[in-house]
Amino acid sequence: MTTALSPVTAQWQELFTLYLTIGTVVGSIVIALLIYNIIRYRHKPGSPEPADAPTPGKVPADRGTIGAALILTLIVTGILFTITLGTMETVDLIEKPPEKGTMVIKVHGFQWGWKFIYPNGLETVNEVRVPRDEVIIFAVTSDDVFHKFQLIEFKIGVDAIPGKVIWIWIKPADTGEYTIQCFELCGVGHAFMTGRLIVMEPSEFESWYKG
Amino acid sequence: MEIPLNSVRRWLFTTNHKDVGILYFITSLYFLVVGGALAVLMRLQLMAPGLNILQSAPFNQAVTVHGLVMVLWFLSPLAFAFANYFVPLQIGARDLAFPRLNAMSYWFYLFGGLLAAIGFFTPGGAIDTGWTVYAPLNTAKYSPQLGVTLGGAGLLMLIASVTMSTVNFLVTIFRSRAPGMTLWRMPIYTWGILLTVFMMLFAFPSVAAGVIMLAADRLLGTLYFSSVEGGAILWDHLFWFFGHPEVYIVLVPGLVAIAEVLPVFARKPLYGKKILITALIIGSIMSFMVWAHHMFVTGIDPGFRKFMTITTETISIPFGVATLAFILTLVGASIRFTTPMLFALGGVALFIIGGITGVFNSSVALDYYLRGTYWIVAHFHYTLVGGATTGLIAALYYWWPKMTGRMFNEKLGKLHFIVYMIGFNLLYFPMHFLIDMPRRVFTYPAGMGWELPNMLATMGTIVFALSWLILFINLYQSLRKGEPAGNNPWGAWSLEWLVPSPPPRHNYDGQPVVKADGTITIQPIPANGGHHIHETHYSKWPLFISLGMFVTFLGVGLGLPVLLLGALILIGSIVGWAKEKFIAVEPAEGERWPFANVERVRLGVWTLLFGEVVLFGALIGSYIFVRINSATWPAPGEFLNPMEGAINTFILVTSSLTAILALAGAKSGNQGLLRGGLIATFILGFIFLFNKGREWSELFSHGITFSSGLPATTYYITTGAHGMHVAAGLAVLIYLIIHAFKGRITKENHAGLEGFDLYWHFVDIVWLFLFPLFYLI
Repeated sequence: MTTALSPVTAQWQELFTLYLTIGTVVGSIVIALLIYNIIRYRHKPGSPEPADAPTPGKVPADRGTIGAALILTLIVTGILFTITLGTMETVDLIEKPPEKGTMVIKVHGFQWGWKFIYPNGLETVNEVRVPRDEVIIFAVTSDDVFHKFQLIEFKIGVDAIPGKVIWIWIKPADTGEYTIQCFELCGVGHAFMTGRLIVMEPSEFESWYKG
Repeated sequence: MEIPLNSVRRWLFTTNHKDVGILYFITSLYFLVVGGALAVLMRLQLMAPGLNILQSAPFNQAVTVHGLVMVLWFLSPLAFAFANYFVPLQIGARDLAFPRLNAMSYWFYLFGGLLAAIGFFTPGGAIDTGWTVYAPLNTAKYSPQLGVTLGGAGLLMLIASVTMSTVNFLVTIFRSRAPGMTLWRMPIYTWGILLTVFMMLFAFPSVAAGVIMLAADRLLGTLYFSSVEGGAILWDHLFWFFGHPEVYIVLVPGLVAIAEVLPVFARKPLYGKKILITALIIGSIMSFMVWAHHMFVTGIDPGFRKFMTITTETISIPFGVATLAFILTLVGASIRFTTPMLFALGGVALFIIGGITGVFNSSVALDYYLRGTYWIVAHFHYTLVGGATTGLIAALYYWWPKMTGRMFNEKLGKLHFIVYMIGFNLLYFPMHFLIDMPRRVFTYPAGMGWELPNMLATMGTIVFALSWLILFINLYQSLRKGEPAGNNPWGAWSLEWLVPSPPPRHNYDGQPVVKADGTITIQPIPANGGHHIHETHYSKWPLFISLGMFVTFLGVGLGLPVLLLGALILIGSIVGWAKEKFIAVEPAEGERWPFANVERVRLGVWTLLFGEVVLFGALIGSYIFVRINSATWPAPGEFLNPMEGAINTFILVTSSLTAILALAGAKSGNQGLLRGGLIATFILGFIFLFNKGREWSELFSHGITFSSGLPATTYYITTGAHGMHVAAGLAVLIYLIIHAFKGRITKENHAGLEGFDLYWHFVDIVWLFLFPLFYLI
């Protein structure tokens, strides 16, 4: 697992863990409750029928109260409210880079690959090099059909839609090679619509970018 | 027409709800096998990295057809197999309100599925765009093959089928309930179906509009989805406005099946039935307010998106309440672990897991990454297979003895359950760990850590497939040598268990009545009634009309002669239908709240018109959408002549008045006014269409075609759809005029004319929107 590869990545991991924790706890409680009831109230030989058991040809009497439903609803709402706050915070981070990006790289999805256009006009295909520790904005669009530009290790991606530009940003903390992949079915080449994100030392990047 | 019960013709021409239910049952299981076989092929291909069992192109076809078939041709139809069979029984009716329409729904469904599947045998193969058919991949430029067009045609037939069912079930549930069968007393499965058809009524027209526009793009060259002003986002809205309610359309029958089965074997009434119903009503309404959560990362307006996040998280509340109602039902119970009960309990457990992973996806922040991953695949299979399908299997085992009169083998049933649960979880649970793997890829590289979950999932697939084989063996053996079931093997309360298994064709030897204390009795029908009412149970026209439609659509691909042949069959059988004397008896009295005073045909037309509102809403909404997104648009008068539009508006409004006069004539017994009014309406409608045709041909002569920009595209398709509605109205008018001149429209009998009037006014009102939108602003 990659932690804190980029501020957004860290926040995403944190939020996912929060959901996973709450989800697992809630799920376990509910399923435990289900299993407990199944075992506790199983039919035992000789045990009598419940007094209000369904009788052929008679509409069963109502059972259960509004109060119970209200309490249950409040519990569920409370949990959802908590995690929604977490979501809003992360969305704000994803959509507002902390400092104005020094570099906006245009990303054009096409059948089947990725074209990158740097501010100085430099164009690369299926491989994008960026400096470490700097805010990079990817302005994503598509030249033909619907794609999704996804940086797997960074836990971030966005739809690539013709006629629309949607941006995401990263601030990579580590140098290395990372995977870019298309996550929306876009035709026969979909599975191979991958690319590489190469994070370099800023000095190395400078010399590559100018050269 | 009388047909021996053991003949093939019975199954071709039947209109009886139980026969149609069995047709749905068998056909949906057939499509399950088709969709399942495709899934097995896909999982074999994905078993390990770099395999070559299913190459990219066939894989994309398999993944697309699998999705479409499983959701639209297996899950919903299986639910409606039970709905067909049991809703009339559960409410104490003799059949659905419109039996011929019901038979036609079935044939449209079957032929629609065949249309989509025929694509496999055409060059370029079947539809391969994913079940969401995203734009602009769906346009002729990127997917020129016939298979995509056929897939669209299949979808249109299915949508027509669903619309007919919707009208039928709503009218039946509101108009054919037995005396004393109030809405609150209805069994929960019937309740679920009522909510499901409400959702269908409003959801399907949106995708119908989308498919019509797509067909226009592909066949006529209009620009809805190939332009960036419409394109991907327009399709996303149209598709998901349908697509998300569709999820609940599929889910709700499964949940209410669980709710139907649980109390019977828990030997306790359903906990909080009214609360559960209220929760489901809220969930159904909310299902129309969450669609944009499928578009969180398409760059839509953040405010709109926040609203959709909140609605999406909120919608889990009613379904959480439903789950808790299931669990609380067990408190104080004496649970019998029969096969249907095991599946019902298993369904609850699996649905809990799928529901919780769903909450993750409602978070925009998480969705930035989760969208398009296998995490999503895991989530919706836990809800739609784990929750919905498992629930429907519970219903299958529960109602099988009633449908066939025979018991199944309990031991095999329990074995089925064990193998099913192991296979299911082995198949789908590992997919949660493929959170980094894209959906719908036919292969993947080694070394990403994806090998083990994929291998486990494929092994799970084999086990899961095997579990279905056990079911089929059990059913086959039950048919051959199962123990006789008797009327009520489970000790259930509802009406269907009071009659023999299988029930007689007319359901009840008398009139079921629910007394004030909830006791259900079947009272003999006094005097000239009894079961000697001669309802009709057969008609050949539903099959032939559907066949005509099928051949017509095939003709779109195969050329004019086939198209003409199809049209000929279609028109001939519509005439045959209109001339046929078909008797569908509506009970003389019953619970009809709140539609006691809305006659059956009129209620049907009203229902249909609600769907039509959404259809035209989607068409007009699309027009507004592309217009707002367009940098330039012709000024009023620059492209269309407002004067011509105004004259046509005047003509159409006048025709509404003449239609009112015709109805007034019928009501007062003034045959002259009736006939004159009808003829005047026809002439005015015809002049309207004639003017429209002249306007079109003038535009064409000026070189303005379907592809001359979005103003032309939207004008032609929106007014074209309206014109088709006018033309359909004229066809009905011909029928009414003939009847009027034969003196068959009278003071007492003018329901058809009333229905037509409603429809005609609606068509006029639509024009009152179109005229200013296209001519004046």
